[in-house]
Amino acid sequence: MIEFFTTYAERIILVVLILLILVSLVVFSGAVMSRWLLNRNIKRRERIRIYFGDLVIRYISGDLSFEKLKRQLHTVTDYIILLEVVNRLDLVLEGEEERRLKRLLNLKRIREYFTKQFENGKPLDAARACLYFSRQRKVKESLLPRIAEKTVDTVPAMAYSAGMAIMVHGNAAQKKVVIHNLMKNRGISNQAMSDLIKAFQSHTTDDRVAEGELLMDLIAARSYSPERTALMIRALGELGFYESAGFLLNEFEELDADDHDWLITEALIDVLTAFGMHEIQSKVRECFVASSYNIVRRASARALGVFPEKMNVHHLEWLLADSDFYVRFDAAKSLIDGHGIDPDELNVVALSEREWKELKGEIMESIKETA
Amino acid sequence: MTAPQKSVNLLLQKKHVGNYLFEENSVTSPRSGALPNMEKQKILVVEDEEMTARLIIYRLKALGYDVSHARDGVEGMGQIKKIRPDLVVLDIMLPGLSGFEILEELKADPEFDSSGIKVLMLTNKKSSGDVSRGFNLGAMEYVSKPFKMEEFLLRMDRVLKT
Repeated sequence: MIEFFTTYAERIILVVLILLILVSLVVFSGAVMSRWLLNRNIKRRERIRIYFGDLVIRYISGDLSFEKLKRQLHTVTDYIILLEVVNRLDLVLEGEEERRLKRLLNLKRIREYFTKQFENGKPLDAARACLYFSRQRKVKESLLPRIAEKTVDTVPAMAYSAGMAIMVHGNAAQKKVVIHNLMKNRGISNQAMSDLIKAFQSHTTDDRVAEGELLMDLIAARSYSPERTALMIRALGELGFYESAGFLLNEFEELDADDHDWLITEALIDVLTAFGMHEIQSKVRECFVASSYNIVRRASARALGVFPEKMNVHHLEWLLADSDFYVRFDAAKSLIDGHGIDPDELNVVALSEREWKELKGEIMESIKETA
Repeated sequence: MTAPQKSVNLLLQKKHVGNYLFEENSVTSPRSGALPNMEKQKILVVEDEEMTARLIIYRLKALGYDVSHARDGVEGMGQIKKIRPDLVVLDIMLPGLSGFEILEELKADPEFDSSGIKVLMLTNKKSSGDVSRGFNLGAMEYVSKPFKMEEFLLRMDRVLKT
């Protein structure tokens, strides 16, 4: 054996070298080929994207009919690219153009594609499908209970998207369950919850009373975190649901002066002030101008500026000496803007001349902006 | 003897590629030019979002304007100085230089006749602070995204007629 290798060593080396060269050539040409194919696909895709971008622009501008555009769609790639184009434009358009875009989203194959995505068991695909449903004008009613179930999902994107779809298409009972699920879902951030509540409000039309009552029920249940409860209180305010004023006033009256949650107290003071509930003044003056939370003292300062009672002026003057800059700011603003007091007449002995000058400048700027 | 003319419709050069019938230049050649015998007003669209820019350009060309496009703030600034457009449709959130920075730079440039250029801001932000900042820097009108195309064109027309 050794003899064989010794005799043919040169030939063996040559053969191995040739083999290595061949393999390298194959690998190299394979790499070049795959890069070329990739580039070709990218270019082709880009070309199709430009093509469909062009068609969609002409369609939404009224220069191309829906049928003609539809006839240009052949492959799955076409539909995917069309979706990309529509999604981009949908972010910037309203009115007639948006309505036309929505019609494209409603194409049968796109609907089927997302229905399959919803059912394939992958949370992120289902989340994308739910966001698609939330942009539709109508969704199959039979799908709604299954979408609602997804709001307890531990994947936040899934729970959020499902919630959004229900806010847009669900009935009052479904919304109630879904809001409850989402409020309890720790994966949903307060910002996301706030967006959902906004969607809830913007899709509240005919059954406004039912929606408002639903929020009141959820607040009364007292089973959510203070952040979530404050969010719902503010939602009632933003909804302009004045029917809830009595209920909110009751919640306010029940607040413990020494042991209150600052988020809930601030929300209640703000919303009740916006509803013009002057009944809150005495408790605000007696308890909350001296709250240990600066946020609550700020809300008190804002509220006392809205109601014209003379007694409020004394408390606001007292708040001018608060340790927190923003409480002093709100108190001074309420005195100037709310009670019509001349800034130069304000008793600001607790403030240095420089601080008062700075504060006054900011207040006047803020009043100008509000006006 | 003159060379025979090619019978090519330059506006719609059709080309079949696979399933697709490409109408080359179609987005740059919409319905009609509304201002055929007048000197076209020059509009520069400074917008980084491709589809938004293409839609605006398409609609403006359809109305007969001479439209140019810049994809970022630096290119936009260069184009403004080069072509001196009658109107700039300026997105506020841009890569490179923001819309505000462009307005500031134009205002600070003594060689640039800022009174001769009209600016319509296009932005996602709806805050009054941004609007007043833009107005203070010389912008004449403001359209918030999402917008209705009709409203956009109306405001733009108003600015051009001012």
